[in-house]
Amino acid sequence: MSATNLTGGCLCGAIRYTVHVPDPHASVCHCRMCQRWNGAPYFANFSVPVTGITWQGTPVVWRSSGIAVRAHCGACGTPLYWKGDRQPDSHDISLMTLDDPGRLRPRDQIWAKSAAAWPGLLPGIPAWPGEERAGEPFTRATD
Amino acid sequence: MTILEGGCMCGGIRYRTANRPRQSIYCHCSQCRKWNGAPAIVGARFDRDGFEITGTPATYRSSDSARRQFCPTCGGSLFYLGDATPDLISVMVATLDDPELAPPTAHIFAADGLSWSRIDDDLPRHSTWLDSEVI
Repeated sequence: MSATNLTGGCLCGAIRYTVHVPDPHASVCHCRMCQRWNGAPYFANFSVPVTGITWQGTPVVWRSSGIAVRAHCGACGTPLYWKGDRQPDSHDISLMTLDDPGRLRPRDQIWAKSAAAWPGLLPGIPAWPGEERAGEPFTRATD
Repeated sequence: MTILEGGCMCGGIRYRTANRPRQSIYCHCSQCRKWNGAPAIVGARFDRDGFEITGTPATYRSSDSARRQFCPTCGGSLFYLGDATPDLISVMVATLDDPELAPPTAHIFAADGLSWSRIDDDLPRHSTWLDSEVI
């Protein structure tokens, strides 16, 4: 079983982790805060319970808003996770920090209404206009 | 004259320049992916002369040929500094206050791209650096 666990870490290797839950939900967030934090058009991540991951090294935790904290490596700056106050038992790990990011494929996209003009939404993956995965799926206007 | 401005998420680091970007490109390499939390980033190269930074970013040597700078408070990924081009600074375009001002014109390290993140546009897709073959 351990051979199939997801493993990952930051760019410099000071922070490493092992995931103990199978097939976590992967997603993409297009919100402006994630864009600015990551310096990228969107933030790819996967959700795991805080008890479902073992960390080596201690991330720097920073309160990014009234509803969430974010963590990064203090040595190389790699963003590591987002953790919302409303779900204290779970957090969203940066998918690209996986040793093999190809093992998880995003199942949905949130905050589509603030997606960057380029590259826009990922094709073929359901998108929602805001945070909630409910209502009508988002379709970008074909202007 | 339009001043381009930007900064990290917490505002601890800000930057501004009157220069236009020399180039703006997608990078799909594994280091950028990991450092930026996304399958591809867009970096815009500016002349270092005239590029003003307020606050003190932390510096990490990410390879034998480059350093990366980030905000020590919020971890925001900001700058890439290549040793071979000390007169230039690459800015993570998503940290611009208006990222629409530096649209990308090419892809590099396209051969490393993930299957689910292929970007269907008409821009040239270089295998590795800009002087490599288009794939």
